[in-house]
Amino acid sequence: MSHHSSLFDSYSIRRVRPPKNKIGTSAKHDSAISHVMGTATYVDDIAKPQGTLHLAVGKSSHAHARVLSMDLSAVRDADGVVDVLSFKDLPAQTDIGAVFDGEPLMVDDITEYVGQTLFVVVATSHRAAKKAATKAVVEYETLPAVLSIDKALEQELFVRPSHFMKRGDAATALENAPIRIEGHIHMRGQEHFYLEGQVSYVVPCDDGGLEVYTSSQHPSEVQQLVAEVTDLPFHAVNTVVRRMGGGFGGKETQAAAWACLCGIIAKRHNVPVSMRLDRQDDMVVTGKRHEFANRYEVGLDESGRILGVDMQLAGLCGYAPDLSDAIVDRAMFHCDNAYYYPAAHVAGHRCKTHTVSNTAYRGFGGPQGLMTAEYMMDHIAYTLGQDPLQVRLANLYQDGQSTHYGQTIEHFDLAAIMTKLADDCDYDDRRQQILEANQKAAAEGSDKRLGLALTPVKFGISFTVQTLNQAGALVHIYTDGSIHLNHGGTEMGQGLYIKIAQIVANEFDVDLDTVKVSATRTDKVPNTSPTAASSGTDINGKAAQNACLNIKARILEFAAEHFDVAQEDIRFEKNHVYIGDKETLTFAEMIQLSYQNRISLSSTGYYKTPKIFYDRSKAWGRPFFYFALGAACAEVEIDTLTGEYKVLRCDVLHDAGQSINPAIDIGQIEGGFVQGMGWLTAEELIWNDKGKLASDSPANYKIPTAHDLPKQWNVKLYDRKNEEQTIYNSKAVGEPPFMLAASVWCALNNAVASLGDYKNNPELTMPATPEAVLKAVMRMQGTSWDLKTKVDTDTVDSLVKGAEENSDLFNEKAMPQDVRHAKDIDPKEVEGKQTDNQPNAIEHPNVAGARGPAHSE
Amino acid sequence: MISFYLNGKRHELTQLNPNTTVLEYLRLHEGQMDTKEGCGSGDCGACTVMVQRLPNANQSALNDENGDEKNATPPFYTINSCITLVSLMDGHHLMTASYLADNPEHHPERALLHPAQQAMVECHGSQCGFCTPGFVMSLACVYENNRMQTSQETASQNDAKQLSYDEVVASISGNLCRCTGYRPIIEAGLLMSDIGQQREAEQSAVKDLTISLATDAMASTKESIVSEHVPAETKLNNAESKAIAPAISDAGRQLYMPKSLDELNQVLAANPQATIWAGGTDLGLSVTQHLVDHEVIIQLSAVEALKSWSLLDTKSDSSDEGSDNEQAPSQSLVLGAGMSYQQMLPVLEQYFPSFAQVFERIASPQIRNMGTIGGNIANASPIGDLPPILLALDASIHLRHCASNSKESGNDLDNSDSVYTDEIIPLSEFFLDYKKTKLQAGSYVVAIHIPLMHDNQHLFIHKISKRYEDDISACLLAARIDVSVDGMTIEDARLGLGGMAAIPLLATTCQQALIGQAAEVASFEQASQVLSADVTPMTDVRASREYRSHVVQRLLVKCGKQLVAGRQTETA
Repeated sequence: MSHHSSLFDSYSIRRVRPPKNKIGTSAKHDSAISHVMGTATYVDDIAKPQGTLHLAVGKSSHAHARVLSMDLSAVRDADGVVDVLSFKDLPAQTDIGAVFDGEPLMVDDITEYVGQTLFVVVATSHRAAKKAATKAVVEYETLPAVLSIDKALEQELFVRPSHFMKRGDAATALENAPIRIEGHIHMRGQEHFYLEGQVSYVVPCDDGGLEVYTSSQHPSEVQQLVAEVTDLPFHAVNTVVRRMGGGFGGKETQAAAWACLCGIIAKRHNVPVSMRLDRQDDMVVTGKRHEFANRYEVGLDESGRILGVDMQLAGLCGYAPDLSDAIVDRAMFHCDNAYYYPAAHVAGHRCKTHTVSNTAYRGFGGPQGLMTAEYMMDHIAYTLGQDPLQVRLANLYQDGQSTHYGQTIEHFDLAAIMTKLADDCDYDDRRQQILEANQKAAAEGSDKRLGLALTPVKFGISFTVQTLNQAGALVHIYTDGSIHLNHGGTEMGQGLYIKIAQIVANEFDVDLDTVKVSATRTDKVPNTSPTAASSGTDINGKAAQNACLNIKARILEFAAEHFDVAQEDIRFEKNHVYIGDKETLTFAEMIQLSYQNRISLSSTGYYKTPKIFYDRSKAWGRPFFYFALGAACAEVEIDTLTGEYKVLRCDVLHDAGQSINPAIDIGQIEGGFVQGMGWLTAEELIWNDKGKLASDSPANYKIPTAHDLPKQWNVKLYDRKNEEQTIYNSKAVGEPPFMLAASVWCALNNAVASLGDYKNNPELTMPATPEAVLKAVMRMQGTSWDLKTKVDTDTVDSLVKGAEENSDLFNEKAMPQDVRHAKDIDPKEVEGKQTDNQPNAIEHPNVAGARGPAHSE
Repeated sequence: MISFYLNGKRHELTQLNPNTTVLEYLRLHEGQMDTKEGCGSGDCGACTVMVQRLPNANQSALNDENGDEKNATPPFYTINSCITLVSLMDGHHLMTASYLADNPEHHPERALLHPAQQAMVECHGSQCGFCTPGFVMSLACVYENNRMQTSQETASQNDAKQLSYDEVVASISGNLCRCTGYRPIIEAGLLMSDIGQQREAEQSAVKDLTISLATDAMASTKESIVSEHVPAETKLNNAESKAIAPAISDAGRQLYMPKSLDELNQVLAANPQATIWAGGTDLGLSVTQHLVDHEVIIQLSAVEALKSWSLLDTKSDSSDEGSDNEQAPSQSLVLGAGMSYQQMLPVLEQYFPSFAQVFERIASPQIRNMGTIGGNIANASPIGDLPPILLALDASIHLRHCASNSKESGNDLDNSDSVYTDEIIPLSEFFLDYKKTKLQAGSYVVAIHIPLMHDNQHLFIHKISKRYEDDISACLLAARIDVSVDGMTIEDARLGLGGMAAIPLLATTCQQALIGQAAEVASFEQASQVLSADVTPMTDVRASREYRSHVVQRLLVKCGKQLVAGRQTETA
């Protein structure tokens, strides 16, 4: 129970550190103790010198408009204001699009979303800057705004060309299929709601360079963009990321703008500059998970086996490309989830709307593809009157089959995982009990119904942009035997630092606290990939291992010669080095000896993911090194009177390969699950008809609380080594568990389906809020949702108007009568007009953009 | 001057912008970075800090009147530091996460952690760590109060009561975590009392409960968390109070902290445009979200009379709805407008148990510790949860209008009666329009009068929101159904609606449709059909017009079902 670390034992004791076997499989998060004391330092906690300037942005209030004039005199005159900059004041590069241009740092002429940066205020305090920013007088000429997927499809407004994946002849398969089902599904976006908002702090250096402290998943990209906007060489900008207060994808590209603004002002005034986004600003001005409106047509045989699928996925990308090309691609890659489509045609559209540019979010489009498949499975089951689990199992991939993009399915344990989970959680018995309970409830007129669902997850691991599948690390061993570790991955709470420290400790077989993990810095490990795509441990862990192996090889070579033994007889074990039977040195003594004999004790390590290739122009290849797998079973109870519900129980069996740190991995699974549950049940991202985000604060955007968990919740790891040669045969675990939450949504759907004796698709929407559940319930009961009574529109308007007039004060926003939902769209029309002509993609089939190696997916 | 303790050290302030929040004070003035800002609006709990009223500072009239032990150590409670004015800390000890741990060497690996912190570490309860200090404070608070309660109840402190799953969940219901999925945090909450007990078992001496938080196994010379050596001058001299000078001021901005109703009347009469600050759980957002710097603030926290409650005999003329309950007790519960939710809770549990039950769904513990009944009514938000319930309970509101046009010069305490007029009006007449009430400049809410319920009156409250905990009502229905002595006929019905329209209102048409009907579900089904005559709900970010319309009807039916079920199970 002691927290006293042996690392802080006296020097003499450390030199003869006894074996303690502390490598530890479930080591605590490296910052756990400073987390609970509140002393872990985040960017905004860095003590700033007097004279530090603070920034706030002036935001556009129109979704699509020409800025006719900006009167910033009142802003300049406001208390504490030092400087005000607009587009014309930008010194160098003005576009900070991560992959493709299209994201100006500030609006030049046309604003394309509510909240876009018009100007930046420099002031002596955060509050002064924010207050001043509200004083601008801006004249706009409003332009027609496209705010929905269906409008964008109608007008063929895309941020990137549409893309298609094809295997076999889907059209013929559908035509010949005995059963055909058509459906559509609309998924809303999701706010990241990292608890620490976007923040940057930039300090000018005496050599004209910049030191950038930021909360970013992609330090190298921030480095490069700050360098570009300040016209500095990359080497003059150093980015430091010690930790983030949550990322979830939201700090992959979207952290850069604030660092760039700070960098520009720091150069301009030669003082440290700080900027952070308050919660509401953060929610309005940064991108989110993509909303999708998808449709499918599936052909089945009589048993419910899929013969062919035609799917159309349309993502709402916002005004700029950002990472949307790769995100919609990943939605397309995962629109099969775990199911074999013998013939498939998949179209993916990147809809441009006049809203904030959507971005990476845990799963990166995967969940939106996967939910389409799961929704379709439910649809099939309820149409055919079958148990959804049987439909899922019957359509599961088998080894040797290939996906609709040509990747061969190998080591596919999902059937075993699902069966084991079903056995472990008594799926069959409970299903029977629930069927009976629901019949009884119907007979007795009770309002309660139960639902049960077991759903699988298959998630492809690797960046689909091949370049990014590389990583670097830097390991130093000091002469007291303590080890310093850097790598390209960032710590956002996922426990990456401790996992990689465990790998390094394991390589030398020394105590875990011998290894110090330190901030991710672009001057230590250059040209890093973002910590994204669940790849953090996979690639950085291997790079760190390689660095260790380099040093170890030098020591072995030296020791073999020095002690005149064979290298194979030298063992690193329990803080010691055993030189055959001859001699035993402590690790520190061996390091000392090596140093005295002029052996280099520092090394970089490098890794690139093997086996992967993908030709995007043909939409064919092996984009993923392997698949992460898992399954979850959820039981829910709904109240058919009000639509309220409770999640009663969840069981999860997830495949993390040979887990490096089971506690950390389970933390990822549980956290991902609840986040996914939030997306599918409670979190409702809503814009009004002017393109203004209505759900713009935690008062009206509700992420789950502790009460929402199932009280009965069993999470287990599936015990099996990854067949691929990943680091210690582990599997990536960041994103895949997010999609385990599909089970909760499907269980709600199942409970509603009971009202139609499981013979009708309930058409439950996402997120399944109490309102959505009641709507589906009433549909199943044949009760009209539309109000019979004539609405006195005058009354409504006056109420709404009354609310709106005052709404700016306390967030009680009025909404238009129609919360927009994407309508069905005709895929053929779109398909006929869109081509797959993408010169870039064909010239460089595996690079989505031409910016630089470190630019994101 | 305001004075308080921050992490064991005394702070006295006179010159300070009155709009300064506790969080700003901690982070910007004190460089104390262990408290984080997650949302700045009291919704996420990242900024949670723990507070304890200093003993002997301000005597609570609440305790006086109910004969509670005055010597009892005041309980710990949590607040959202982001929206709490620092002036509200006057007379309190404010504690942050780093203070809970003993870390003299300034190295985390060598710190001796509080049981709540230790449990969080052992259960892997932190991932990104940003929300963690807030969770730690919420857990430490429930831990300390539980420990205090156990030691008061039992002579031996060996058997600290184990917290239940539900108690742990309730204690963190105002804290959001986006990383962990909460499971390890709940586990930590369940584990911490074991750790504490183990710690105590390892100690030779049995320590005073509240002090031991700071000294427990910490072997430090740190001042105790309850600073017993608080000098008596924490309370302002009485001589000073006559002048009624601002407690703090800066650059022309002033904050007054009247100590009595008389002082309040005078200060308000002299400053009718002042912002009246009770708990500030809504007003705080004007400072943090809308960047308002209030010029003059009158803070009510020191007016003990506003925090008291009593039972008042009323003449039965108020039973104007033609009921003939001969044995009507004709008593009203009078709740001081300054009572926080948490202070009201035990009172309501006694007199209106079904009202008290809904509290776990109103806001968060942090907000319930600060938010007041008067504030919830006076801010006239259409989504306040108390007004519809109070409407259903036929509550009245006691308003006071203070004016400065009296002949006195304003600071003559003896004639304060002459500077105000009082009125007690039915709450249903108080709300005029969206955010408009009968309150004028210079007015404040003194108290709420709620007639006690008879045996034949039944209160049902239903709240609908996207999230169970800490969410704003899409619809709140509060129904008081009065039945005949035989229980078979509905004699009166009062239906309060919240979240449905620009103001909280009574569904009068629907009420009429219920009165005189049989106390059967069918009557409620029928009456629900005319609800649309009373309210045309709005569509907003929380729910559509359709959902609100359907669900309020269905909730009324649910009330009917509950009424019938209750009659079947109980005899009274």
